[in-house]
Amino acid sequence: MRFAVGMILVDAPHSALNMLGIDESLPERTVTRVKKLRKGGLSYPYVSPQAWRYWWRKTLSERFNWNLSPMFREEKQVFTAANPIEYPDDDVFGYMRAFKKGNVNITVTRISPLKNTPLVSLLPDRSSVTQDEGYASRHEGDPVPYSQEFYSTVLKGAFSLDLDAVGRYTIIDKAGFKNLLRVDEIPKNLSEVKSEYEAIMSKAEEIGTEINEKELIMPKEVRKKRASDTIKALRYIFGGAKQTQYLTDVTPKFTILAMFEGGINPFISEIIYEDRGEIKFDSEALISRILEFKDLLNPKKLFIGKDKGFMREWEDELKKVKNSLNEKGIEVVVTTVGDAIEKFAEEIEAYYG
Amino acid sequence: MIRVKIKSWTASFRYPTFQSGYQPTLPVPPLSTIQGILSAARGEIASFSEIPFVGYVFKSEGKGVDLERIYALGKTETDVIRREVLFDNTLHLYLPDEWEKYFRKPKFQLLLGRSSDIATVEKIEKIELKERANVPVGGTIVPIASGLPGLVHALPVEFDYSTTPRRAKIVKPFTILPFPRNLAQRKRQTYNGKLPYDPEIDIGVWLYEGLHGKV
Repeated sequence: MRFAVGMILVDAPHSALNMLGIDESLPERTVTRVKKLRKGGLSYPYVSPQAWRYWWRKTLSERFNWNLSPMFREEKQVFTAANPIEYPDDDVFGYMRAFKKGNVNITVTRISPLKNTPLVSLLPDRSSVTQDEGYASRHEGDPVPYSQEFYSTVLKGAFSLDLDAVGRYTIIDKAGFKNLLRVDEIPKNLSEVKSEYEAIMSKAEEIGTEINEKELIMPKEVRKKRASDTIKALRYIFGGAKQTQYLTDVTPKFTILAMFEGGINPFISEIIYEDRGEIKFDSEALISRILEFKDLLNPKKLFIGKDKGFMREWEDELKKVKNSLNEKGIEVVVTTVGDAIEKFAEEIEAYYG
Repeated sequence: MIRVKIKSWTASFRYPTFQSGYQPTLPVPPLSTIQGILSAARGEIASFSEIPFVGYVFKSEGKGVDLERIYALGKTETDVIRREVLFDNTLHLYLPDEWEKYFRKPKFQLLLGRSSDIATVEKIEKIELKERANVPVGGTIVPIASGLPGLVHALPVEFDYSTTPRRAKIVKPFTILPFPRNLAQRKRQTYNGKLPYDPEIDIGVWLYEGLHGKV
């Protein structure tokens, strides 16, 4: 087992990337609000995990020519093709599809190998959110006032990609493990599903997929490409609401990346924190977290990418991380964000051999 | 026993009876979520019947509401539902020693709810809990027979994964006790009998031992 995990920071100097709409629980019903999480007496703007995923999937399609799984609309349901052989996004982002015809119920599910948190603001709303009063005044007659919130902050996010799960589909009769059906278990009266599956399986064989009793494993070249594309896409990620007005660059300005032999993400902690309106980097916290999981770190490398112009004052802290982890036999690559992502993607490729 | 400290930015625990436009979260995970976490750590479905005891204390620092686009059954157009999420969470698990190896190196990603609720192991410690009378309980669910006041709800204990989709194998009523935040709440949630007490978190730990061999 091997997991490619990371944390990123998105610089959002003037943004409204994910909106809540009108908050009916507040007396003022004329303001379009940004999404927020409450904590103590404070609120923190955030972007939904599914919004970030959506940008991610879109970027894979636009930048890496991923052939995205089409949405099917049956009488009562909508789902993707649930065909991870053909569509890389079904593979990496997972699916659930219930084949329900008459009283026959055969369902396939795939847990997403790529998991991600929401993007959460490091600054609370009192030091990041503002309310903008706007007027629609292009028409004849009186201008129409409207109000909307936007923020100026840094957002943190984390993700984990299960490298063993990419391009590997279990067909065990256990909930969550039935990624695909076996052709012989599909009832005859479901001829459409049957022929769909015959097509999936022959395609799988054609490209050299290893097929056994319990699982299908795609050729390593396919798995390698899908996993490394997924990580590389971070570099180009684009998306978010209100880009016309705020034009936020949502590519990471800071990232920490590493591979672990266990389903953990040590970066989900207080490595980056807020202190009286400022965003700080805690080198000690990062060092101790990495040392805590040193046994699982494989290769013994940590990739840190930082945009030159972003948080200039962190450079010394990063040197500290590099020096003290070097002493413990862990290589720390401190470079630009793009380079860190590319180098990390190379490690991922190396994992598949 | 060991105490595993797990942290996550977000968490969500499905409120079993809600089916409509609003999806609230339970303030603490039900036992079935704990089953899920244990299974993810070990890499195969775990059952409480094979675990001599298990206890947990969950604490969340905040909350929020997210919007989610869904494709509802029986409707061709999409809907937007509101979903509650818990923010900045800590889960302490109290387990037999042999579970240390699984949490040192979890087989799958640990989640406190859905796939966006990625969690991480922060610490694993060997601890001894001494029994004490009249201790506050919270951040967990307790059997109704405990006599503690709180929200009573039927919650899944364990899922049966041999069918797709999975089905709840056992559903039992429990009293839901959020982590006590003030003195009044601590008083209200004080258990008269004896309970293992964790001095570091200042809370009584409700250990489920009765499930061993029975689920």
